[in-house]
Amino acid sequence: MNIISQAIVNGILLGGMYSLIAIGLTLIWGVMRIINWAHGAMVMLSMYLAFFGYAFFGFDPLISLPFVAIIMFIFGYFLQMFLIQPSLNSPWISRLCATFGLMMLLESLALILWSSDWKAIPLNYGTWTFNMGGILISFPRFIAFLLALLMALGLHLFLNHTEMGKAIKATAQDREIAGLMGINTLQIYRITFGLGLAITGVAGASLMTFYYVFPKVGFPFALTAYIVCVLGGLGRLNGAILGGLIIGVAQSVGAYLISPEYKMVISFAFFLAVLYFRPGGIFGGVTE
Amino acid sequence: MKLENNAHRPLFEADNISKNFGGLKAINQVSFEIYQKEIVGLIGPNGAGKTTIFNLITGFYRPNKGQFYFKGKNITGLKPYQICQQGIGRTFQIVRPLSSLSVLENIITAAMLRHSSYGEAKQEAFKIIELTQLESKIDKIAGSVPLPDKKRLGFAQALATGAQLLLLDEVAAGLNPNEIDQFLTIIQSVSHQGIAIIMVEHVMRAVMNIAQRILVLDHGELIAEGTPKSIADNKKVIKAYLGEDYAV
Amino acid sequence: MRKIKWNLETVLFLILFLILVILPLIVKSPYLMDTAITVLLFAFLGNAWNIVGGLSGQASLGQSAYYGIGAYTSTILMIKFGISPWIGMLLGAGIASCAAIILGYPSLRLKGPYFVFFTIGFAESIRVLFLTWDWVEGSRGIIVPYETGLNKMIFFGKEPYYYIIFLFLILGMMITYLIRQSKMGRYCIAIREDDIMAQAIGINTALYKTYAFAISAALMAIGGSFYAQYVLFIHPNDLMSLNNSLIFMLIAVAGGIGRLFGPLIGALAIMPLWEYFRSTFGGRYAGLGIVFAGMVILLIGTVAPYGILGIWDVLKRKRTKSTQKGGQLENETRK
Repeated sequence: MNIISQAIVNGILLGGMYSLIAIGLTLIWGVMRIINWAHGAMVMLSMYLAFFGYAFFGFDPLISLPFVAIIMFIFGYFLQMFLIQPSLNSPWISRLCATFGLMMLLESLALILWSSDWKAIPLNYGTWTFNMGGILISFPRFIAFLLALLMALGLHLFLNHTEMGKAIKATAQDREIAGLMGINTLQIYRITFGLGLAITGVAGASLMTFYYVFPKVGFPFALTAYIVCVLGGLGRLNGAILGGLIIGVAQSVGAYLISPEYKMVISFAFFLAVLYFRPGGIFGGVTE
Repeated sequence: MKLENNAHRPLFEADNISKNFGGLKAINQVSFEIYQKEIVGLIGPNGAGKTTIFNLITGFYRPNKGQFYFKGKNITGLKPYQICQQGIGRTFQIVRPLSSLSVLENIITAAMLRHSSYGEAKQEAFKIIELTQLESKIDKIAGSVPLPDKKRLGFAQALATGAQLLLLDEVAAGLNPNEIDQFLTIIQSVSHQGIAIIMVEHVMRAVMNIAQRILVLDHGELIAEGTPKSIADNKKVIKAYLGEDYAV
Repeated sequence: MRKIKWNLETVLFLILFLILVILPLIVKSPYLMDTAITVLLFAFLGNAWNIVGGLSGQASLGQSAYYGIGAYTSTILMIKFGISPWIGMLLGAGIASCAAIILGYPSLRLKGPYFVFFTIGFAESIRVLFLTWDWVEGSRGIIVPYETGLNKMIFFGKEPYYYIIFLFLILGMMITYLIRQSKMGRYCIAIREDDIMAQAIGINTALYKTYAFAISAALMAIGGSFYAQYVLFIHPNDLMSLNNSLIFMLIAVAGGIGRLFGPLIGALAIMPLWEYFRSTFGGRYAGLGIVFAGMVILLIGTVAPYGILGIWDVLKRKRTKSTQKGGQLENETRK
């Protein structure tokens, strides 16, 4: 019984990371309305940024974190402006492929620039664990989980209690009406995209406290994050958070009960089951 | 199954139709009949449920209670493509052309329901094109033609499927008076060929002049039924559209 | 069949065809021949993808599962039961079709990203299934014993492989062409353009999507069987990968989504450089080919959404604008 509890707790911690990545994704989905396959590459970039914060300046990734977030925000802002916005009129399959192109481009560049060697940051608290009622909890993962919670809370407050946040929410729900209300939708798109990438940056930097980076590290995270988003309902924040936790636990328990290889299959089975009963995701998100 | 005792059976019958959307009663015990060659207007304030009725008839929604009969056969619960195969065609409030194809190809695709060979479908398509006066547009890409043409295309497609009952959802919306009159002439010539038509409309000019009968829907219920003239004077109808104060 | 119009396009395609026919006679380097065979194989697979993706608008990223099923079926039948891969290939196509029909069923009502994820999910599940299935050697992969012979579809030189895959490609493209001219083709296009409108004009969208899934899967399986006999080693990760499914889609879109010659043009444009960088550099610089491919695809998504053939169309329109009435696109003469 104890091992299962351990698996569940690990799953929750893992799920927190998934939730964070998924939040960034779901925000961006509202702007792009297609699957962004390059999102994993964004996680990867954030992780490399945090790594270089350590390699060049000796910064703990949690110190680099705000810088990573800012850099990713700026990157996202201009990416939206120069790449995404001009392509919005193309047929969706072309845009879908374009995101693949971006992913391939970024991953290959990373491979050329930084090789496929795994890079990790040695931290003195990296292996700390503490014991809570018989369950071992990894300290850095716990911190990352707390950060994820904080970000989710912060985002919720931002979206519901600030002018900018409400404008973002309005635009995500209905562009035309938002435009009619005087919101500069183009600007909002850029900011939303930047915000989505900034959150992803936080996730990436947090990941560097207990994980390692290599060019293709982002893909499985992104794939899972997408399943999380679809599960929770595309565009829905609560869905991303809840979905992340559920998938995290499912993968963790499943890996223990069945086999680690089946991680993807488990996520997928979950995904199918939910879609069968609730085609719009758990919270019934935005359907096509 | 209800059978009329007189010789003139209704082509289409809605029998006590009700539909809820999670607790909200969208349609409540609506019943009506449509006869061949009739043009019937379906009017009512916004949100009354007019398009919902169309979606129910054409199988996109399933009624919670009640039945639909077409040519004596119970068609409740059939899938949309089956409803079309039975002989009921529709247009959509927001036009849905097959955008990358030409206008001609759009109509041919619709005609292929009854004419499996391309050649026959094309012949049928040209007949429809003549009827709907789309001759000058046949090679244009459907996604790029102006709205009135798109609307006429949708109408032509519904016709091309060999429909005997046409459901027209706000064909007049977005058209100027000239375009509306043109469309009405086409609708009338189609009606003379024996096809029954139900028109959902907001533009009174469109429906009051052309329909023989009007059904009025408000909050999901049928509140009045009669000739255009009697409906125009009906207090309940006036109240539904304009509110208490206007009903004298 | 329509009368062929003799214009610049037709002449160019004829030249391309002739070049492809005599290629093995000019090219002697086995490395270049390998690239050529790879290009034609992926053109064939891209064409198969196009039937669900381009024609019917169902962007499936799970087609590699059928590619794998085909390879495994013909290989297992050959190794364990001595059945010729020519027959095994057809049986593989049959099994893949059935699998597609069964797997396709739950996906019929899914749209957009939900559909894409579903296809990824089932392909991944099948991959993991084969990885852990002992009877098909699972993660060890299967080595096809090198015994040449026509009935075994194993040859000493590369030329026979080249002509076989070239033939398959032509057959595959003919099948696609015939479908497009048929009622099924038109209905699939309607489904692609607007699923709901298609239903409203009487199209049983579930049925036609299923037809498309089945035919595409069968062709994928045939490609898989060819691959097995050419490379002589099969493994679930090589065959049933998301990577492969992606490539099928990308070359079809790069060439021109839904166009008959799209996959061939796309494969010609992307694969040679990709292969060149992969084998010449290896290691970290193998990525250069992918960087290039990535940039091409990015451009497709933003600037040239209708692919290379789309750009060709635009150029064609500009050239003939003076002679044509109003610069209208003629959909039906698009190859």
